[in-house]
Amino acid sequence: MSQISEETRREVKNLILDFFSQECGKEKSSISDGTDIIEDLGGDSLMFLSLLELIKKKYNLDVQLKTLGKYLMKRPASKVGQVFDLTLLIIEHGD
Amino acid sequence: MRKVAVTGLSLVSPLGIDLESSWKAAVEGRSGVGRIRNFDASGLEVGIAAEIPPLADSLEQKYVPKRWTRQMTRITRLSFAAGMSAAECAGISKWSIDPDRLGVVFGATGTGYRIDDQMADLKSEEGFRILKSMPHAAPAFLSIALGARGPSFTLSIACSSSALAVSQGIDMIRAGRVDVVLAGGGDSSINPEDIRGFAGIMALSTRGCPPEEASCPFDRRRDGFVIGEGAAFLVLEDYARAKSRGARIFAVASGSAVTSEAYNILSPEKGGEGMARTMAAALLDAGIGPAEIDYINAHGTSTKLNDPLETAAIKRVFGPRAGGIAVSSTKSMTGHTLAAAGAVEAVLTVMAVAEGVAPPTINCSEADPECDLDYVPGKARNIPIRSAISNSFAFGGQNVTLVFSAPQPPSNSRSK
Repeated sequence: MSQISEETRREVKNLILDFFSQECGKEKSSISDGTDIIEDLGGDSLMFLSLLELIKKKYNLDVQLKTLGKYLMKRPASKVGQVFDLTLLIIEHGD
Repeated sequence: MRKVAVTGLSLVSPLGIDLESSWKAAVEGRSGVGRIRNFDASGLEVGIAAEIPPLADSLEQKYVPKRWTRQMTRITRLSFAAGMSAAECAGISKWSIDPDRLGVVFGATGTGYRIDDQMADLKSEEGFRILKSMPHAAPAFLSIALGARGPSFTLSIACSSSALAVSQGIDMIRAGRVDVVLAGGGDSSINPEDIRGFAGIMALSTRGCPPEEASCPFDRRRDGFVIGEGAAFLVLEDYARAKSRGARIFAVASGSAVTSEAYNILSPEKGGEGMARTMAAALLDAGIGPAEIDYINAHGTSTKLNDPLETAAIKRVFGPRAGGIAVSSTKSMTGHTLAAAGAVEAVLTVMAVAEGVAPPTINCSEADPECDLDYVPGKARNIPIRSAISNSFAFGGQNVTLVFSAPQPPSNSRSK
């Protein structure tokens, strides 16, 4: 388990906002924690998987798909803020 | 029965990435055939094809959201872009429509998700393999993008697939199930496997002439078709609705027929009987007599078998008048765009009606005694077109004929 610094939190937040902004063609400034990925961004339920690919590379994580499934069962991530929280959890706890 | 108008068109073809450029090239008699650019074809028996110009990438960027780009194959991206372009042409985004009354019907033989694409995708954890291989991917994405909550689905009968989609769209509006249907198709089968497959059944031209001369429907030298790719859509709309909103009506979709020859998996029925039956049934469905047809966009594949049989079929249906009808095969320029061909040629037929111009059959200069109609050789012709038909005949004997008519009687000032 690794403690997450404030700088990493900011970095992750930025990465997530950039990701949704680019993938969904929306202004970054229009995306907030309460933004719904499907309803507001026209995204899909697999976006978290794509995002996790980026996160895994950036933070050198080894997280299996089945573990991710368990995370998602416990903490659904339909809003951007939920995705942020879950991403931090995964960075913190890994597989 | 409700009347059906054509209020939007799109065409992504080897002749151009949009309707305007494709139509202009067709009228000018330009060939879209060349040496294969998209992969190294040096080891193949056939190294020519009618590929869509590279500019199509810009069309995809214009219409396909980045996220969806990775969830789609090339066929789906091209088809989606063509569908959105047709919707834009009809002004679908500009006027209100009950979403439950808007449908999407698509003709395809698949999404072109090939083995090597699958192997590449296996290295990714994105999980788009299923989305990329769904035969109904294009209508699904279009229905989402347009908010169309009526029926959206894919139909498949090989080279008649997208003509069937148009026929189905006409029937759905006539039956009152929907008010507007985006009907079309897409295909991109220019790859080593499909070229080997078609070459294996001796369907492709191998005569080694300059590429732009290889597709020569109705010409004595013809020896097979040239494989092409494309995507095209028609926006079909309840005529009264189109009139009331002041939409441009390119043509009236007057009727169609879908038949099966029940004869042979590869060869058309002897004497062109099945083809003739289809054309006659379509005229009957449209309530139009043979004397009112001024233009025929033939299936005209440039194969030894199809062209004389289609000629014989036209003679059966139109009798002594057959020789006076302008008949052209736009496959001489576009190549055979397979599942997309029906929609590609329906769009060109509608444009012929709307503009009063019969596009030519290029490379048709050496006479074949079995092909003795007026094929509009080499050069487009200005003619007033009251009604026109577009033929699509598939392996397996699945035939479709579509009938389009001018919304008003065309001016007779143009000379034939």
